[in-house]
Amino acid sequence: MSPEVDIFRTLADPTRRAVFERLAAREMSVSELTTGFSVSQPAISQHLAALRGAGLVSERREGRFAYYRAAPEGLAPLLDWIDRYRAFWPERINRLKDLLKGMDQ
Amino acid sequence: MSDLATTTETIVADFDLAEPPHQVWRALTEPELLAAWLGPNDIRAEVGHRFQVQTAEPGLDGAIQCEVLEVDPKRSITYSWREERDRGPALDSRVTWILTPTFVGGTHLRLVHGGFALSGGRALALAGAGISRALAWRMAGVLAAAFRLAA
Repeated sequence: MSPEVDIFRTLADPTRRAVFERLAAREMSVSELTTGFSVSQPAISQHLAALRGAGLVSERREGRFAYYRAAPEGLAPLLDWIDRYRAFWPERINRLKDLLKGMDQ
Repeated sequence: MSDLATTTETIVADFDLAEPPHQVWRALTEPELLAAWLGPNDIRAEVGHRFQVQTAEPGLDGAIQCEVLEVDPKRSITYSWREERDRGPALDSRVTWILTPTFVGGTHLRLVHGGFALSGGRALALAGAGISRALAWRMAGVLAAAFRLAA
C-alpha cells in the first residue's frame, strides 16, 4: 500500500486531523486527548490507531500508560507528493504555452 | 517560484497567458489539444464524464483516472485526479482550472490541485517537535496546504 494513500485518507477525517494537530503541540495520553473532544475515548483510540498505521503518530509506553505524539517525519510522503506536482505543473504549463502560440485564433 | 503565500487549501499556481479564454478553454478540454501538453486522453467537458490521461511522467506511474465534477464553460472545470499505482489503492486528488480574461485580451489561468486540507495555524507547533525551522515551515505549508507556484 502506498504510504501517500494512507496519509491522504487518514487526514481526510476532520477529527483525526484535530487529533494530529493537538499531538503536534505536545505528547498526551488518550484520556488527556479525549478532553476537549465531543468524541468518546474508544473513538479517539480508533483515530489514534489509524494515525499510527499511517506513520503520523508514535506511541511511548510507560508501564500501564501509553503516550502519543505527532510524528512529523510521517508527513514526508506528502511532501514528496507536493514536490512532484510543484515540478510537474509548471513544466506542463510551458508546453501549454507552446501549444497556444501555435494554435489558430 | 514563490512559496507559502496563499491561504488556500492546496497547490495553487497562477499563469498569465497571452491567448484569450476561449482558446485556452479549447486547449484544456479538447482531447487532441490537451494531449499535446498533458498527455493522451479522452476528456469531454461534461459533468460525470470519466476519462484517462497518460502523463508518462517518471514518478507518476500509469494513467491518471479522472472524472469531470464541475464545468462552467470557458470559465472553469474541475475533475478528480486519481493516480493509479502498481500496488495498493490509488491516490485521489482534485484539479480545478479557472480562466479569467485579462484587460489585454489574454487569460489569467489558475490551477488548484489538492487532496486534503489541514488547518494551518497550529502546524507551526511542529517546530517544537525537534525538527528544523526550514522543515517546520515546509510542513506548515503542507498542513495549511498552502502553496503557490508562479509561472
